[in-house]
Amino acid sequence: MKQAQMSQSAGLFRLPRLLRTVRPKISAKDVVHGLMVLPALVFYIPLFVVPILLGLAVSFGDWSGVAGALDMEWIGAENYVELAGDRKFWSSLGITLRYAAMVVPSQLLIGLLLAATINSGKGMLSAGVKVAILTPIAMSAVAIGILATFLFSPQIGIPALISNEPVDLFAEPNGALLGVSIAHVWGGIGFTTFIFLAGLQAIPEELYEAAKIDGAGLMARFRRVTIPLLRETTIVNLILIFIGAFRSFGLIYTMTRGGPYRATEVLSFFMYKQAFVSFRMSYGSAIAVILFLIIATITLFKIRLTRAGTTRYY
Amino acid sequence: MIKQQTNKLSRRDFLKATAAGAAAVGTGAVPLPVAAQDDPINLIMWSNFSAGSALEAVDAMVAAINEANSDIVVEHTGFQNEDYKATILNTAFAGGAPPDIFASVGFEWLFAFVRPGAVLDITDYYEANLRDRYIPGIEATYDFEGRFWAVPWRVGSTPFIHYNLNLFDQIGASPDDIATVDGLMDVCEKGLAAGITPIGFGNKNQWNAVHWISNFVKNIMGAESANALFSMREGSWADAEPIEGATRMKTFVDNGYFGNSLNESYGVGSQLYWAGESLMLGTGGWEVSGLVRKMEEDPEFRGDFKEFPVEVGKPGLGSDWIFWGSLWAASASDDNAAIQARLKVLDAVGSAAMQGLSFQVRQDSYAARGAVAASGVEIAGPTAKYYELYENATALLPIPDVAIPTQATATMYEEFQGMLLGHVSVEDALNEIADAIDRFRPE
Repeated sequence: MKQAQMSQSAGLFRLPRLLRTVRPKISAKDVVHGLMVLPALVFYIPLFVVPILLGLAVSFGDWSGVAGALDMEWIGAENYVELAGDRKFWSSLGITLRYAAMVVPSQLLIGLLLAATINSGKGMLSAGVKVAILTPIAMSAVAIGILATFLFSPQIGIPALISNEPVDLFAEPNGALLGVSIAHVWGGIGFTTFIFLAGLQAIPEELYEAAKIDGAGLMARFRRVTIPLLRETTIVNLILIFIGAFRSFGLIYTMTRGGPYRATEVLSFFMYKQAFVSFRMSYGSAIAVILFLIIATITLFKIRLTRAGTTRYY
Repeated sequence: MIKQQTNKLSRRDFLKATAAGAAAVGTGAVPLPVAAQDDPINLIMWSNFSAGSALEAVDAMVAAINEANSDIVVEHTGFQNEDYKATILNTAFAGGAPPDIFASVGFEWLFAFVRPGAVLDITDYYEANLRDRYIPGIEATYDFEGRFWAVPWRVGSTPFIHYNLNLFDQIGASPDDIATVDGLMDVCEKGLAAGITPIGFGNKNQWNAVHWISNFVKNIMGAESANALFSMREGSWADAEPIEGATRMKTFVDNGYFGNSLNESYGVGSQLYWAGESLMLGTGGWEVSGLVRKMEEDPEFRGDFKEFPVEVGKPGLGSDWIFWGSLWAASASDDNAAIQARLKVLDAVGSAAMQGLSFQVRQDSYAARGAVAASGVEIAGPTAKYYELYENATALLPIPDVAIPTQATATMYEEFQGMLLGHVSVEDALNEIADAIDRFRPE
């Protein structure tokens, strides 16, 4: 039986008697926790927090991004007002949502099936599946994009093998989005699978045995035992895949550059084009802030969901 | 970005240095490392020439500059053209670590770096030393608000059509047939009937169509009105004449005159022509060098080129050409030694001697007077024809993808390609372009 609760008593570190009588607002445990995260903060603050704050500041200015940021003209919320009326921004947001809608359920379902296969499999099958899904984890998005481009090439890829008149998937808007989505799922499936696998292996065998004694078949055990007990794992995976879809850039850059005709121009690529191609770093930063807010909202949602339903096996 | 030159240590030198260092440490006499006054200055030079004869030409120039100047060492790195333009140089400038010297493709693109003060203003040096070097009118390509920001290296014209005479004979066509747009379409139809791709094109990177559409628009509007449109003095891309020009281009695509090459890279599209698989190649002056090489390597290949066809009953392209340009510029610096070193390199790459050297390698374009004479290259065959046209160029007109504000360039590129691939109507695409130009029109 696993005990998820931590002891509430201070235990390890006790403050001197005098300090204990003062009843400080910051407990010794807090201090210890603070000290433990300090090394991480030393890196996290300058490398993450400061750039985020700088990006936020830049989004309220008019800076080309080339040089002379200190001379940036402050224009208040103009970039955000322009974004609100920018058709291309809304179009990119729509494409990002469609992309997420294609990626999230596919990656989730395939990941679950693969995890279940590995979990129940023996020997060669399990090892083979593991190797197959682990390989893309070790590859960069660019490498996956290049491989997928070959894979879908009408000259030398799968289309050339299955048809005399091979179709160029990337010539059509929907086809291109589908092609990038498939590559995305392929690239991320390993991580999803292993999170599910960890969740599956944490489910006590006794529960399955009890269900079996009660007469539950394979599917019933999957529905009544596995699925409910994988709730948190599923939420974690769901959120991670969703965030991954929103942040996707490398694949788009490598495979389609946002084309054909902006059909795969997700928000992150739209942001890149504004900042680095059109020399509108401030406008790009405003898009980055919006993207950050979307992802932060999803993350908070995830935290609430997982807090609400912590699974305990008593 | 200036670095003192560092020499690689051999194993023997390393052992000697280690022994000497150990002895010095032993005696407590370790001097502080001080760079010698006469150490050469390393200069980082970037360009969009990463392969082929253009890279050979730059490397030959850089080797000659290093040979002639003991106080500087130029290190050239060539990047793939599209990545260089879209990401690499912008990111380097944005990160505060630009190269000392950089190649600039197009003019407005250079000015995007000039505006925030990231480029070295060479006006005084230019006035004193360089002004008389270059062919007339060329200064417009690097003159921004009355100051000079670069030296020209190769400047040329785009409206050429190359044609394969062997294939023309095969389908019963003559180069005279493609003097007009209607004639060009007839030849394309003959090519299609014979199962040959009419025109090798390649617009995946989206700049080639901008040239072609500009040619069609200029044909219809005439040089004067087109100049006014391209330089944003008057007119709009959403007007009837630009729409007519863009529609012409769309007709070429819809009729299949570019085969399947429209969504391929420029390299793949042009290779159709060089491999003898397309009747023609729609391109610019830079391919004249390729033609010379091709004819040397393959005597059976009979290629030639002529000016872009005119529309019957329309004003036509006129004698002034649309130019493209390759310039060299330096990043700004507060360090006088750095500035002097950079000026020395710009002076060199902009000289007739260096441009003559690059002309030996790549016989297409030059900017400095006397470059061809300095090259010692005998001008004959396609090059002679090209230079007859080149010398006759009477006016200079930046191509629209560089004349329009940089912020609107991406819109023009993608709208044209979207229009040609059928994802957006001609009218909507040109409206979008006109809006983008209006939004970012310089005050």
